[in-house]
Amino acid sequence: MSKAVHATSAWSAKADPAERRFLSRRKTEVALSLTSPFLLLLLWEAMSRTQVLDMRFFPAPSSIVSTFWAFAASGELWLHLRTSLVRIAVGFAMGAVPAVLLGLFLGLSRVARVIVNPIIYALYPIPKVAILPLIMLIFGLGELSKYVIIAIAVFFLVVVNTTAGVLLIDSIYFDVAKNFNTSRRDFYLKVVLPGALPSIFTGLKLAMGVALIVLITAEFVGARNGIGVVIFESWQVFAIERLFVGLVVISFLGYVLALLLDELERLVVPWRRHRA
Amino acid sequence: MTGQGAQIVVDRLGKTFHLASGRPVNAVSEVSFDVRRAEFFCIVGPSGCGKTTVLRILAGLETKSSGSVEIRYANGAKARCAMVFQEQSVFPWMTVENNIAFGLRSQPLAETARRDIVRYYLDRVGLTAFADAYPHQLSGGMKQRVSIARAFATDPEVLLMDEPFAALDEQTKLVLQEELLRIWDETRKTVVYITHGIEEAVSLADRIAVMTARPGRIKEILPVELGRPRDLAQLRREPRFGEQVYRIWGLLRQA
Repeated sequence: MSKAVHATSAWSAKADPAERRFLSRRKTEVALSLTSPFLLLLLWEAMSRTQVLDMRFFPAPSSIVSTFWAFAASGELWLHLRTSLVRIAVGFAMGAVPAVLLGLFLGLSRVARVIVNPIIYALYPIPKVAILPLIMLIFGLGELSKYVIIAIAVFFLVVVNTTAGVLLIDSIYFDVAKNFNTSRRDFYLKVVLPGALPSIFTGLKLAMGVALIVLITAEFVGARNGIGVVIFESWQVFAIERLFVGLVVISFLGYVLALLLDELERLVVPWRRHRA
Repeated sequence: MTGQGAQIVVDRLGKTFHLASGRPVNAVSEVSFDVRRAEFFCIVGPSGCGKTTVLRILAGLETKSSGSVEIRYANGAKARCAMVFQEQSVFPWMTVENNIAFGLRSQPLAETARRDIVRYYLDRVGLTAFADAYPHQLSGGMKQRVSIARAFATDPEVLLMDEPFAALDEQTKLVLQEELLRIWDETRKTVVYITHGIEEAVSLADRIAVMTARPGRIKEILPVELGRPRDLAQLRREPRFGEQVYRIWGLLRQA
């Protein structure tokens, strides 16, 4: 690591002025994008303390942080976070896996598209929150109903994007596969799946955002643990700092999950040119 | 390995497409020709004359409407027909190495044998250093080299080539034509090569079929009276080369 840094600096010392200007501008950009959130927090802190902001609704960041530490130290926060993480993971997998399989099949079969697509397009626009009561009636108030509602939300986005991904594969690749007498297995695993992967990832990323919304909603309505419960109960007892801790945790969770998907995409789709 | 190519007999081949409106269009009509074993056969004609359709029917990628197509295999080779496509046909999601190995996957080969074949053709097309690269890291000429290596690696009896160098610049085209002739010289496959470039056809072919459009028909089949091996840069200075090109021009202009 230190060797690499050394090599880079030796190289940049020799780089021409334009190159150096570019590097220093890049450094400034990184520094700016790191400091801007802190500046906002500082401003917020100052405005809360001087009572420009109403402390009842916007407690000072410092008091949110101390609430966070107490909440985390007692182990309570971790309990809620773990429950929410399991729900997201199980629900996401339950929705995404069948969606990719069905999407690949729909992308390849015109007949299947004609039969199945109208059903998908009719069900897709129903807000998932609207069917939550029905899901809780069928699957009870336990974990299963949370998994199912997240899975449903994920399923539609992934199936639609996977189908589109297969349809976007240039027909010349199917010609190549046919010309070389490709086996059925290779056709699916070496041609169709990788060809559709970029679109599949678009679907997965969109689905992750929606999964978080549905998760919190489901936890508002009927759950004992979870980040949604933290937020909702804090509102009921007017524990405003705790409410903000819940918001910070969910925002951080969304950020980490998005990063994880990006990293996974880099690993699984190495041929796609990545832009920062 | 000499003379293992197949013989191709095409008799009064016709192909009718139906437009979205239901109106039939005659893409190819009454096309007859035969290709000898180990012959380099070019079909030259303007865009839209149906030459690609003929090739796709030979490859089994398109059905014929009338006439007959017969490929008499010598049974010496492992694969039957391999096609080199017009442009982007290498898989963007596979490395150069895996692209070349793709056609071999359907052949019963030991892993080591497969690796040896891939390594041999990587070397033949000068891409050994790029074995692990993805196509987006390659130039257009390098991608077509991968496509050619992929086809040759399967050791087919017939090589079908659909304007493989059409999208390349002149210098790259010349280099790749020479490479193609060199590899073909070693293996002597039967080649059917489609192009709209008259000079390209004369440079490469043993015989040339001249096609005209609407409906796509073969106007004439001419032998190329140039020896082998050919130095393609040198060839262009020879009066015989110019005469051949001029004759084909004449045939296409009458159409």
